[in-house]
Parts: sequence; C-alpha cells; structure tokens
Amino acid sequence: MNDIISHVIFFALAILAVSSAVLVVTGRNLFHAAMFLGLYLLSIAGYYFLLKADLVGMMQVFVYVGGVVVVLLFGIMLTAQLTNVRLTSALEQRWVTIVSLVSLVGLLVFVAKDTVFKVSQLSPVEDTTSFIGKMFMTDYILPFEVISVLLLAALIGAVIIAREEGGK
Amino acid sequence: MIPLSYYLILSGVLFAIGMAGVLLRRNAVAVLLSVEIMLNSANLNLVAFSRYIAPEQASGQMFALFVMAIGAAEVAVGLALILMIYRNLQSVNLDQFNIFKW
Amino acid sequence: MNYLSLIVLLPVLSFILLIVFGKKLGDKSAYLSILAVGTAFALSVKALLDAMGGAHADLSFTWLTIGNLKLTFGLLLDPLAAMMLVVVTFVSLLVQLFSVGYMHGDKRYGWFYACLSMFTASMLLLVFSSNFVQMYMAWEGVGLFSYLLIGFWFEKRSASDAAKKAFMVTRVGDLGFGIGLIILFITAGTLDMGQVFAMKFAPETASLIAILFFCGAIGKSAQFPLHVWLPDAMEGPTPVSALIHAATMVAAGVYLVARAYPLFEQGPAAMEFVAIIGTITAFMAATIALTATDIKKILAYSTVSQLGYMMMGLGVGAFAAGTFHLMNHAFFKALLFLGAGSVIHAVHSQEIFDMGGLSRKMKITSLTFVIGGLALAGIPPFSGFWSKDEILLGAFESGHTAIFAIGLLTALFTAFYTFRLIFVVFFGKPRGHHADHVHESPAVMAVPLMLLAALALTSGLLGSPFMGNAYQSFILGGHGEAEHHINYMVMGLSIGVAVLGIFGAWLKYSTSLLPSNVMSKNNIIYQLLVNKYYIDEIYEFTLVKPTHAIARYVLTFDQRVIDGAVNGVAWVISRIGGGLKYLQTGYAQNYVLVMVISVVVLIIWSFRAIQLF
Repeated sequence: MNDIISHVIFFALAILAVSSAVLVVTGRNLFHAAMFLGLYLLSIAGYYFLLKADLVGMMQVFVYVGGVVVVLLFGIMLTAQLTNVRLTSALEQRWVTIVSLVSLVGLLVFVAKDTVFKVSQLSPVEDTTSFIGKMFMTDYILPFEVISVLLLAALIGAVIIAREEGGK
Repeated sequence: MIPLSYYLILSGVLFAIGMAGVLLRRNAVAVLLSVEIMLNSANLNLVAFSRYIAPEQASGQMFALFVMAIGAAEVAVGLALILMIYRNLQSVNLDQFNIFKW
Repeated sequence: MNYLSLIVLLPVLSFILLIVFGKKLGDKSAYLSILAVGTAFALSVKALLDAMGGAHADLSFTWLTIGNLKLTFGLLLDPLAAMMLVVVTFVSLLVQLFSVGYMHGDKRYGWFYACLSMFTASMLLLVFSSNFVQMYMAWEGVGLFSYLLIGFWFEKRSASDAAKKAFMVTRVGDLGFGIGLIILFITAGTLDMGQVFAMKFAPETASLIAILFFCGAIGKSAQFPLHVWLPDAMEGPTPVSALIHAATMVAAGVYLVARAYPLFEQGPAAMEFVAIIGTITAFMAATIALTATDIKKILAYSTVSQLGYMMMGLGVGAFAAGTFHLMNHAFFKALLFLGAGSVIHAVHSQEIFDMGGLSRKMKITSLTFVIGGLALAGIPPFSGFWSKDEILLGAFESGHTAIFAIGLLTALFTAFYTFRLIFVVFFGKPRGHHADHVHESPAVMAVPLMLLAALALTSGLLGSPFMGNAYQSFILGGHGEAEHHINYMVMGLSIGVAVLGIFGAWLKYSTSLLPSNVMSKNNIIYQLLVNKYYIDEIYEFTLVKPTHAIARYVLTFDQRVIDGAVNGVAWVISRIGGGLKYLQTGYAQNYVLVMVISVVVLIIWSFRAIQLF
C-alpha cells in the first residue's frame, strides 16, 4: 500500500475517532452518544484493517458495533434518562481531572515520540482467521477456556443481578 | 510506513478522552460508554504493537480478542448492575450513589 | 505382681468413668466407685500378705530422661507401704459406703464420688512411690483433690475460702519439699528412693534436706505453724473430713517422714526438729481443742494434736511407734469423724451445746463414738493406748524428758476434751431445736461405724507388748530391734493421766459437783485458747494485710499505667481512624480519580528512577 495513502487514511480515521469519542463523552443525548460510540468503534475497526488485523477488525464490527452498542442502547432505554438535563457529575473534580489527564497524555507522548522501537521487517500473517484459530486451539488453549468460563459466569451473573426480586 | 508512535499517541489521546468521560459524566450508562472508549484505545495499542514488533506471531491480535470478550462481559454485568441500582434508587446518577461511604 | 498397679488404676478408672457418665448415673455412681475401691482394698490385703511373706517389690520403668536424670515411675511395696495401702483403701471404702447415706440427694453426687476416687488413687500412688518425683506428683494430686473436696459446697463462701486457705497454706510447705528435692538431686544425683537411702550423707546435708522435706510434711500434716488450714477444712462434707483430714491425707506428711526415715536418721538436727515441732503441735492443738465448741473443729484439733504425736514419735526415734499410731489413728479418727457425721446428719448442727442426750436415740452411733473416744483418750485395751504409750516410751527412753512430760500433759488434755465432747453430746439433757426428731442413721452409715469401732478396739493389740509386738517386727521388716521391754512406770502414768482427764471431764460436764467458777471463761488463758493462740490473727497482720496492701498498689499501677498505655494507644488510633474515614466518600468517581492521579505520580516517579527527567 502506498505510504501517502496510508497516512491519509490514518489521519482521516484519527479525526473520525477523536471527534466521535469527544462527542460520546460530551453528548447531551445519551442515545446519540451511543450512536457516536458505534462510529468510534467502526473507526477503530478501520485501524485494525489498516494494521492487517482482518479478523480482529471483523470481530470489532460484529461484537462491538453489532452487540455491545445494541446492549448499551437497551440499557439507556431501560433507565429512561434520555434527556439528561445536567451533563456532568456534581462531584467537584473537573479541574483535577483535566490536569491529571493532560499530564498523563503529556507523559505518554513524551515517551512515545523519543522511544526507538525495534520494528520488525517481517511480513504480517496473511490468513489471520485460520492462523488465530490454530493459536486458540494450541498455544492459547488455557486462556481461551478460561475466557469461556468467564463469559458464562458473566452471563449468569448478569441475569441474576438484573432479575426482578421475588422471582417474578 | 506510518510510525508506531503515531498509533501510540492516538491511543493515548483516546484513552484520556474515555477517562475524562468516566471521571466527569454523571449518568452511569454514559460512564459505561466511556469505558468502552478506553478499552478500544488499549486494543488499538495492542494490535499496533503486534503489527510493528512481531507481525508473524499475531499475539497482540490474540490479546485484542480476549479484551473484546472481557469487554462484552463487562458491559453485560455493568448494565445489570445499573439496572439494579435504577430499580432501587429510581436514578442512575453516580453523584447520588454513595452507599459505600463511611 | 501386676495386681499392684491395679490397686492404683482401679480408682483412676472409676474417676474417668464418673467424670464422663456421672451425670447419667446419678445415684448409682456410688456403686461404681465403691466397687473400684473395694477391689483395690482386696488387692491391698493380698499385697499386705505378700509383704508379710517377705515380698519386696519394686517395679519401675523410665518415663523421662533429661540429660543424666532418669525419672522412673515405679511401685514400691514394703511393709510400710503395705500397711498404708490397707489403711487407705479400707478407710476409703468405709467412707464411701457411709457417704451413700450422708450425701444422699446431693446434686453433685457423681462428682463427689469422682473426687473421692481420684483422691484415693493419688494417695495410693503416693504410698506406692518408689522415687521422690513421683511422690511429689502424687502429693500435689492429693492436695488438689483435697482442695476440690473441701470446697465441694463452693456456693458457701466459707467453704470456698477454706479450700483456698488449705491449698495456699499447704503450698508454703510444698515449696520446702520442692527445694529439698532439688538439693537432694544436686547432692545425690538421683531421686530413686532405694539409691538415695543406700547413700551416706554429711549430717549437715542430711539435716538440711530432711528439714526441707519436713516442711512439706508440716504443711500437709498440719503441724505448727502451718496447722491453721485443717480446722477450716472442716467446711467440706463430713465423710471427706473423715477420709482426708483425719485418716489419710494428713497422714501423708507423717508417711513422708517415715518413708524418708533413713535420710532423717543421718541428720540428728532434723530429728530434733521433727520431735520439737511435733511436741509443740501436739500440745497446742490439744489445748485449743479444750475450748472449741464445734464438734468437727474439736475433732480437727484433735487430729492436729495426734499428728503431732506421730511426729514426736518419729522425731525421738520411735519409728515403729509413730507409724503404728498413724495406723491406729486412721481407724479411730475416721470412726470419730463418721460418728460426728452421723450426729450432724441427725441434729443438723455442729455446735456441741446444741446437742445432748443423744445416746438414748442413737445407740449405735454413741456406742461406737465412745469406743473411738476411749481409743483417742488412750484407755487400754483400745488401740490409741498402745501406740501412744509406745511413743511416750520412746521419748522417755531416748532421754527427751521434757518432750515426755509435755506428751503426758497432752494426753491428759486429750482425754479431757474427748470426754467433754462425749459427755456434752451423748449424755445429759437433750438440747437444741431438733432434739425431738433425732433418729439413728441408716444401715449404710451404721455398718462402717461398727466396722471401724471393731478395728479401734482391736488394731492396737497388734502392736501390744503383751502380744509380742507383732506390728513392730513387721514394719521394721526383720532388721532393726523390735524388743521393747515393758515399762510399767510409763504405762501406768499414761493410763493415769487418761483416767484423770476423763474424770475431770465427767466432773465438769456431767455432774454439777464443781462450782461453776472453776474454769470460768473470763481469764486470759481461756481467751488465748478460744482464739487459737491468735495465730490466724498473727498471719492476718504479718502476711495477709501487707500482701493486700502491695497488691492494691500493683493493681493501681496496672490500671493506671499499663491499662492507660494500652487504652491510650487504642484511643489515638481510633481518633486517627475517625478522622481518616471521611476520605471514604463512597463516590466511585472519586476513587477512580485517585487511581488516575496515582498512576501519573507513579509514572513520574519511575521516570525519575531511570533518570529520564
């Protein structure tokens, strides 16, 4: 892929991601915020394709955009707080938050721009789906099984927590 | 090729935006949305490292998938908790929810 | 010779069973205990017969080795031990029988028998000991169960006080015994009796060890100046008084002296000490008994006095006479105590001037009591006479004329107070509230009285010079001289003072021949005696009061300074916690913010560490 094109794509996606993330965080309407979150997730998926992580990108679209955002929309509608008059928390911590986050980003930038990474010249995995599938069943079998148990536990736990009291 | 540091700085900025949402938003569901932003910025980091440092192993992609699974589970449990709080307090405002205090 | 260990183990077994099942068994627990001690008695008789046949068992096994100290656990059977075995098991058996009637309906019936069983076991172990450590352990066991039994009715304040007093006073003596054991081990290197007695000690060393041992005996056998606990110990049930504080446990001190006699013989000073303490005790206790009015207290002081006699006998070298008196005394004093128990059971009072004329209503009790009284007073042919006479003879012949004279005087007092008791309680006019419904005790109480009376009548004859001094040759085991010629002068004096004492008591308490101002209560001597020589008061002022004062200061220090420091630390920490708790706002977003700030600080700090800044 051409270097200039990839740069253009990167910055376009960056503008999309940052602006949608800011809109999620600042949006008055929670429903719109959830929609912008979908946009944000899609832009991240774009990065995944740019990084040649096809399967992860697909999963991002399926699981996040198709699943998590929908679930969050359910949550928003169930709690019926669509027209939120007051946006921010009543806790007086805005300036501390801003200062600490700015310094955090500053530190990260400071580190990232000066560090020399040993960039590998090898070509990335072409057929990611079958490669990752094999990895799941071989080297990563234990985390894979653990995560499946975790998902089951979370499923049951969520059902039990959210159930109406009195078994109705 | 795009320098790796671009990805790192981008994911740092996105992480900070998500963190600001967690710290400042009043609505619990909005906080949950912000947490998703943070998770994805970290994921972006993982995949970028995987691509640049060890592209032939794709281990960062594996971890990104695991983080997605955990993120899905987190959303499910988190929403269940929020529904529970809403049912009891008729509100999901985090500045009204301080039963853990002294 | 396995049956020897059974003698000790049977009562232990009974104790364990009663502890576990006592509540369930209830009234039946007595039978278990009686069966155990009865079997032990039968085996003891067999042991006695074996000992007569010359068997001299010493079975032991090592149970602890510390460096070059080997502690053995063993059973020693010799004539002295065999005699004591029979006395202990027999008296214990009769007392337990008697208690079936006396303790009937008590709510801690099973516990009572458990204690009696274990007391008997401890006493038997003490008697059987083949080394001093084992003896010391059994000694303490005896002390413990004595404590439990004195305080058996611990709901009564005076009973629990008496139990504490007994335990602590005897502990003073036990301390001496313990130190004696240590010194003996340092000098002899062993605590095995056989080895110790085969050694030669310097007279000073032997005297020191023997006197320290005797300190233990002073405590346990209630000798002057530690006799104060025994009269108070009468707060326990009367059968307990009979078993422990008359017949067996208080004899443990005498037994210790007799057991360690080879050691005492090597230290002339110790022998003199024993004789003098014994004489003082005998005289003093007899005089106190003259004025006491509580039937059990009179008998208690009489016990102290008779124990003094035994010590006197041992001290002047009349070994056989001392142990002989021990045996006889066990029988007739158990008889007197059980008789007193029978009387108390009927009259519900212990004050002798609440009683009177009981002989008409309690024929068996009064008859047996009079037999016991005659034995105590020393009238031939009752048992007390023969042994007391032997002791006096021993004192006379060894040249202790002063001791002999005081002994005679004490015999006079003994006869007087014994028959004062008998005349007031059993003869004369009925007195007190319960005089009308006085009744004879049930058979289970009467039978032990009769058995003991028979023994009080006859046991003395075993050692009578007219019967060939059978006891003496047995106890000395063939070695040592047993041929006492009969000294009619001493014997005559002894009988004379006894008769005089009885006559005096008759004159004063059974007739109105004497004008009432004879022996009036308003003189110094009477006051001195009725207050028991003020010994309790002396202890109160010299020991108890200062200890209390010190204890109060220590208590104040503890409460103010030590507790203050502890509470102060706790107070400071609770204040700090009270302040810090406001950091816990309960808002999740506050907590997350703190996390973020911490992460930033940590990153900066780690950058400083690798000198990035």
